[in-house]
Amino acid sequence: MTCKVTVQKNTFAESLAIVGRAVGSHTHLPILSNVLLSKDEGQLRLSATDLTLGVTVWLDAHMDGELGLTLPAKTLADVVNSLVEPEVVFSVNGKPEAALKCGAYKGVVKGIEASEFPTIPEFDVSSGISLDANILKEMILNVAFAASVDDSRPVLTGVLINMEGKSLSMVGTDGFRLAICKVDLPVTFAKRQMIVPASTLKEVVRIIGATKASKITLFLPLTGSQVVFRCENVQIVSQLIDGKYPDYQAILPKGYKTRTVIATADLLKACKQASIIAREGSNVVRFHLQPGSDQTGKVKLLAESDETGVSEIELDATVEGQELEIAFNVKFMQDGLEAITAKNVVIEANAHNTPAVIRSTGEEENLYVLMPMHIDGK
Amino acid sequence: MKSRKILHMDLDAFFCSVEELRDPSLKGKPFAVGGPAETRGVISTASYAARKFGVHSAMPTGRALRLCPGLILVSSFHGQYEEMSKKVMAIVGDFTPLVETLSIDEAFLDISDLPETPLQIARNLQTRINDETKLPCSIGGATNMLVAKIANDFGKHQHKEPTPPNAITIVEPGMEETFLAPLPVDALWGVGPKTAERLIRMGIRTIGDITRHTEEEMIQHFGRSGKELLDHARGIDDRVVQVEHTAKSISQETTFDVDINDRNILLQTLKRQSSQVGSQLRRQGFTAKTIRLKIRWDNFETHTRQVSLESPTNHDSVIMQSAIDLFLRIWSEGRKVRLIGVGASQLNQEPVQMSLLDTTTQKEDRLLRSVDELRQKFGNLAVYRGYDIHQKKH
Repeated sequence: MTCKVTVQKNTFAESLAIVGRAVGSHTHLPILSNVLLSKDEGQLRLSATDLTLGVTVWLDAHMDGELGLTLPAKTLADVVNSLVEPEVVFSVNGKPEAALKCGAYKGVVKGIEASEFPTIPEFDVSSGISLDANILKEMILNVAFAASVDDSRPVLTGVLINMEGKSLSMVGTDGFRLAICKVDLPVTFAKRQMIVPASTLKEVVRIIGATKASKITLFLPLTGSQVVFRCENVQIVSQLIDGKYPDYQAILPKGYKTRTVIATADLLKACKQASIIAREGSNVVRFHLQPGSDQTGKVKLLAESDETGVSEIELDATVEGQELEIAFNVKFMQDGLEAITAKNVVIEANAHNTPAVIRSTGEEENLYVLMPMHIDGK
Repeated sequence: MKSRKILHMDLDAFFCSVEELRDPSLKGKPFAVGGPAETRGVISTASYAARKFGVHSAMPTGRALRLCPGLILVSSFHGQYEEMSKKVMAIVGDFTPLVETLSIDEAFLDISDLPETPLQIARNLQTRINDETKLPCSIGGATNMLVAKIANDFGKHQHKEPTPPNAITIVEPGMEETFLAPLPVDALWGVGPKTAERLIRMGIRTIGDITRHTEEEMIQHFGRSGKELLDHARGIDDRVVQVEHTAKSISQETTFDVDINDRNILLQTLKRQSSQVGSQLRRQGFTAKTIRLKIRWDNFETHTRQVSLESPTNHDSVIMQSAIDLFLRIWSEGRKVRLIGVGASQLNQEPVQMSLLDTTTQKEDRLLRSVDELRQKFGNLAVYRGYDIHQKKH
């Protein structure tokens, strides 16, 4: 099997970068460090997988024969990135290696037989649901950060996606904070619930960014254990997380005793200031909410560390209800505020040891629920 | 190598001596500290007058009363024992920082670096303990822990009067094997009734008899411990006095009045200790990342095992579970335990991120907080766990 492939250097490099994200770091399965190069309906197809996530990219190339081999993703990408001429030519001659030529450059990259590469299932996504790529991206950015990065409770490393009627909702939680985002779309969903790895969704966001696509197709294969996203010439197949997602509805606070409305940007800036001192400890910042209507209320942020010192920031705010001192992990607070684009943010709290709700003004559906930190002696 | 100087200090009939201080009328009378016969109690310590009747520790109280019908029974009063023990250990600590506390009434001292002779130091130590605490104590001295301890036991047994021995027995360097030779084999550590029986079947009755066997023979009969037996019989013991580091930690230990091999008693002790550790942690506003189990077998061999927790805790249930897991890994059914303890270290006072989902943890948090408050108001016995009820009835 011989094949000479001619491909645009930039397209090739960009495509390698996209599949490269799925390349596993499994030292015990060296094949997963490789990218599969094959010919598919006249196009060059690149695939990579870490067994949870599989990414495939199709790109235009001239090929004079059949192609099928795997090459180490990093080496190949580094070589291609280093090339300067607009066109790259590589030839394969039966062996699992490719001879590359580009201007003054000549080289050989050694790989592994294509037959050793795990099969990435292919799906006809034409029956999938077409979604606005930007809306999906925003939703993911609003919830995926709250998912857990700790594998001890696998379901929490995923984002719960709920589809029902016209509504699409996503929930992410690591057990300390929880983000919910819900939108109504001009499509009708079959009722379905699934837990998608947050890492997959973060990949989807990157690919939407890289392809600048305006639409993305969501397809759910009948197997029930996978989800497919198709975005222009890129396909992402991901395993779903099996398990029971916690009953998050039960923990959403009902009502509040203290309600604070404050400028999002001011609060975010204050959090960043306080975190300089707080990061030396356990990121704890005490928020003192002092009632006062029409911006006569105060929100005081206090961070103290035996080693680094103290920082105190006082902000004007509208605070209704009871005075309250509540401590939060300031990093978690920042994460929540960064996901809010509205000018003002609302903080609804009940007590120093019960969860608080943070959301944009006027938003009832998109919530960030944050559990406080317990400070002893209080 | 310069030979070491080791002392073994043991308070004489410690619990009885403390009781005599509390109630001087007991002095010279046959009495014992222990549980009543009706609840199948056992004697934990017998006064020297009671010992004349054959009453000894670990004996069922019923039997002790038959041997010595006039025996006065005193129920144990631990708070005061601990207080007295602390005073004694403080005096011991004045002589050297190299102290290994074996139990409430027993300690090893490494005095190798002190200029005085072991006898001089032993006399000074005994005088101070006698004067300052009014408690009698016996001291053994030798070049190693094994011989120091046996010397002390030997010295105490030489005292035949119905009074505390307050003995001092020093084995001079080089005299270890000679000193041990005439003693019965079960004077050695690690020689329980079973091993003693096997030795007797081999014609070995005294420690000296052991030394007439070769290492090969001993290993053939007793495996690896055969070599240890032979070394010990020759008066060789390289163990060093293990000073307990007082790194920031909170712990609870119990030395049993009688060596215990009852699974339930051991587990209950661990559970009680775990809640005490948990409560101390909470009172001082700490959480701990490491839970430690300490266990001492009947032959004084001591082990510690520890586990690092995923997230710091001050919850009784987490401490308990970790301690029990560690215990079950090291203990085999039937093995006798002299001391058991639970410790918590890697303490921090950092605020804890509360969980949204893990409601059981938070429920326990609230429960423990209420329990702690009740105990603070009404004393430790105001609220206790179900597993303590059985014990409390006694």
